[in-house]
Amino acid sequence: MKRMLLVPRSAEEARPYAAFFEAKGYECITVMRQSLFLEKSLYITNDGIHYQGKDLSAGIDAALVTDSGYMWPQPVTPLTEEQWGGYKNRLDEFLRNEREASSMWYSFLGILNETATVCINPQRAFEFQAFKPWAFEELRNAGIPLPPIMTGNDDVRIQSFMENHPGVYLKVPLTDSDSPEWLETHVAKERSFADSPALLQALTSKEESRVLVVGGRVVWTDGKGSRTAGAESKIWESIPILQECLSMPYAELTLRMSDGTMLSDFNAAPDITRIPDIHQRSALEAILGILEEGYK
Amino acid sequence: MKIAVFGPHADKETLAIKERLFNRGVEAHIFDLARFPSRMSITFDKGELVVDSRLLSEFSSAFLRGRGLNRPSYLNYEKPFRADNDRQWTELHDAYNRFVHQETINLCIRQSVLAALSKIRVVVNTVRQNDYHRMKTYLLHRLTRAAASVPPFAAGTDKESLRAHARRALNEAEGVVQKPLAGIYKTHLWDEKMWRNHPWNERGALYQQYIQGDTIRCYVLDGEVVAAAKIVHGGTVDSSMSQTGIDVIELPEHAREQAINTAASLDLTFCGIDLMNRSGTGEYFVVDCNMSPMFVNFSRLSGIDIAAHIAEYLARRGDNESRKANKAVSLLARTKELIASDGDIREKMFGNHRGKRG
Repeated sequence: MKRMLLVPRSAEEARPYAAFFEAKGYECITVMRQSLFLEKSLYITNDGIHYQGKDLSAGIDAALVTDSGYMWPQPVTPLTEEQWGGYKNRLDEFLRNEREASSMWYSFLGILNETATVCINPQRAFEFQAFKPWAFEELRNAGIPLPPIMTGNDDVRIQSFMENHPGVYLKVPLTDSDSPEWLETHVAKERSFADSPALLQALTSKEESRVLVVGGRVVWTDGKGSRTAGAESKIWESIPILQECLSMPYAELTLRMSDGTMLSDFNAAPDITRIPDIHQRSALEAILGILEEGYK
Repeated sequence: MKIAVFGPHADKETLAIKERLFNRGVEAHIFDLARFPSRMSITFDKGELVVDSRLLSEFSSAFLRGRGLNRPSYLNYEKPFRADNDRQWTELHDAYNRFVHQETINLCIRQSVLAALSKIRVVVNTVRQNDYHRMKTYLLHRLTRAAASVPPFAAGTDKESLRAHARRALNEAEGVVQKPLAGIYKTHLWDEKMWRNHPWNERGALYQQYIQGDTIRCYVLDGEVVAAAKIVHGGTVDSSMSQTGIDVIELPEHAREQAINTAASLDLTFCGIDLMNRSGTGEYFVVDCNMSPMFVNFSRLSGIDIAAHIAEYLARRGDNESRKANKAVSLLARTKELIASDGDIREKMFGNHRGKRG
């Protein structure tokens, strides 16, 4: 029986993956960051890795990771008020716990990336996710259609960027907790980014669509943005290159308009529970396909 | 030629490298990314990377000493997070969360700069490689796979398995130590009390078989051991807790190979490696590797100018980059010249070497 490791953000997210892959004959083992320290069942040695009493070094045929992110800075998750209260004047102790917990988690992911036969998405994809300014540079170099982008905090250069690219501006989120923010021209021009650096895109409309791609193929779109369906859009041909460039065989893309349909954002951890069941199956079949082909 | 040194202005290692580059007649600029954004500007714009008003593509190579991580234990980067009463502490909570949120954005851009630079220039060492220092379990796993002599270790959250591992090491070997999972903290000899008091609900642990013997620190640069010394200390398990000096040594061949292979297995151009030389056997074990090690004090005590070695490497690699860039510019200019001019392009390209067709 093939063995699959699921690393989801929640038990709810794991369910459709587990149900599908178990039906296909996989033994699914779920590892969740939140319960890692409560379960106390991860054990790594020179000889291998054990989890919940199972010897994972005996072979992991596939790993499906949606809970990764990047290890800096601590903490990985913000503190609640109650948690904060418990650490009064003992912040260094909290920081040590977070630092070492992150180390354990990312060491585990690093080892998983190397030992699993196939890992989707690999850690590299999450690095691109965490370092979007760099990722967009790589995409630009690969010829992926992108809107004009300016990242940074130099107000003079940002103003010049806006003058050269009139339109509406989108502040693309650089953290998992932020949402995209639209800036009308007059607002954007009066704003200072000196202490609040941003990644700005110049767009021609607020129209957008989301696309789920697996292994270079579109498996679902949200049906919005009629112009994005045009076969003439270069973005569609670029999807396989885009995914390879970001080491991201499983991705949710956000397309927006700027002199044509452009890639505006990407997500290395698509939430499959947010798409209709019928399309979930297409996505899962496509993921199975690339796992069985041995994508690495 | 210009070389970038990423690190704090007050950092001894950063300053030492800049000074050695200056001594070689090379222009070096220190970028302290921790100053971004409040005291430094950065822009990415259509492939142009401008940091602190300088175009990064003008630099031929770079050294990464620090990526500019600001510790969240300081509010506004200066004052500690402390409160006289519960109300004050509660008020600090929002400030803390805002700090962490903003620093996530700041670090995203700083590290994007370093990652993008690594694609076009030699950077010693890259951001990804520097991360290994905070992932000791993964580091030991990589070294084990590369067949380095790594003392048996166990890490994780399974407290019972870890305790069993520690007891075996106590019975069968020289002992066991608990090491920090992410650097910074000290290594201690393990005992049952340590195991009982460990905050298992909050973090895991890393245990490793203790090797009795001499602690050796060596530095590897560009595939060679440039310095090695025995750490003279007061007998603590963690030599840094009681270090009094160093004795420069010549590593035996097998130990030197271990060190070089360690660096190679992690693709590191420069690193500091801690070896343990087991008493009476001549065996060497790799116990740690540091991707951004301190070396100024070591150099002062040993007389080996490690900063000069690094500067030489950066200048040499930088020179290669400059030559490639100049050649590319020259080739482009020449090609444009040929295209713009009339006459036989072949003759212009090959001179009078007729008859070389096909």
